[in-house]
Amino acid sequence: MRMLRAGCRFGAVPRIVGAFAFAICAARVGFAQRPASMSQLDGRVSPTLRVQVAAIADSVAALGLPVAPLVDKTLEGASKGADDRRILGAVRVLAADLGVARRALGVSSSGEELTAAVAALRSGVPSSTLTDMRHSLPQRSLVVPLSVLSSLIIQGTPVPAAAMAVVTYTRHGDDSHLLVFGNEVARYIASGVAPIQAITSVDALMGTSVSSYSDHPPAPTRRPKP
Amino acid sequence: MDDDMMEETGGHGVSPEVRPNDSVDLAITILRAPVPTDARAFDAKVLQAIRQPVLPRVIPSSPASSWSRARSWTAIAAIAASVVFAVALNNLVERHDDTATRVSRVAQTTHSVPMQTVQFRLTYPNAQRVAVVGSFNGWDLSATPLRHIGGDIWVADIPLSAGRYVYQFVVDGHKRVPDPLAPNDPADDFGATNSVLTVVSRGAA
Repeated sequence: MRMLRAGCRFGAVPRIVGAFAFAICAARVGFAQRPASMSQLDGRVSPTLRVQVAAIADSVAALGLPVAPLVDKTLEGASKGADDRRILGAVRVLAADLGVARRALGVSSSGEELTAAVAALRSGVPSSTLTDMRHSLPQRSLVVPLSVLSSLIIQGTPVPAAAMAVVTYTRHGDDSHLLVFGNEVARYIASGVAPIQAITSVDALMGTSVSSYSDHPPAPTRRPKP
Repeated sequence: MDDDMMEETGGHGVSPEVRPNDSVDLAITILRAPVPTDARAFDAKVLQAIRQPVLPRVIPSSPASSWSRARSWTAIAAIAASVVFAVALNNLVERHDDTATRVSRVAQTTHSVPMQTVQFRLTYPNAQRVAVVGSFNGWDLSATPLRHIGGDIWVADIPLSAGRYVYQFVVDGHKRVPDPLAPNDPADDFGATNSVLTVVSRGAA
């Protein structure tokens, strides 16, 4: 009998542990399913704008697009003192741009990649170039390449040359290598060197095997899937 | 006579018919005789038994039953405790979420991603206070003030994970200033130019 009761107490331990493990899992699931960061809008924007942004966010989330950039755009507008109408317009345009970026990069793209792709699109990169980059660099995150690409284009580098340089440097090294390349090119351009010449000069200094940059976009390693 | 009886029974030993006068054999004969039954009465009994309501099962009080009751109470207590624990954990997470408008906004989404400390630096003459706002702190003006380190130089060290961030400095609470040493963000929706920061993780492939 004593052994039986001891067995009972011993048997309760894994049961309680299992219940607590279940509770932790349930809490984590609840946390994961909570809307990405909509709570950040509480007290920062008007209730009306919050509801309108939440409606757009719901639609965007239903399409599998990230919600966080929309929240961030709303907070940016509120921080800069923009009125609700302007903020809502910016959020709508961003939602549409995220859809274009996702169509260009594919459904497996991360939210960070899509945000960087939107910046690239707004800097003048055609969506076809984004698709080519995705298929030229299928195993890499495109966050840093797209960020460097946007910077090069804003500084006046033609899109084909900038895209080829970014793809080449991404293939030949890591993101740090690419970032150093982008910063050096920006420094050259800021000092008055023409963008193409800046790329060629930095390329020669860094010793990458690409010696010239044409106006042709980088050739994808495989054909993109629709 | 015995021979006659043997002939009648076919030579197979004792039979009830053989010695009807024997009381034991008579009893056996009676007991072996099939019981006459009324099929309809039997069916009626079965149906009546089926129609009777099922009585609740009475568990006798015994050491074994108290053991199973202890098990069930243990399970109920464990479930109740786990529910309370889950609610408390959710509240804790929610409170963390509420206070996450500062730098921890990044940490929310990148728990396992190594952070790197990035120093923001602005040289601005005659500034009384400087802050940095951006996508890493929810554009909160009070989240990340820069500290004055002498002269006109203001700095702030912020842990960030790898990614692309947009930001700008805010001088004296109202003047928006892009970082003169960083590229500009092409997306300018609100009329104040943002700067772009790209953070690369160490050893990034």
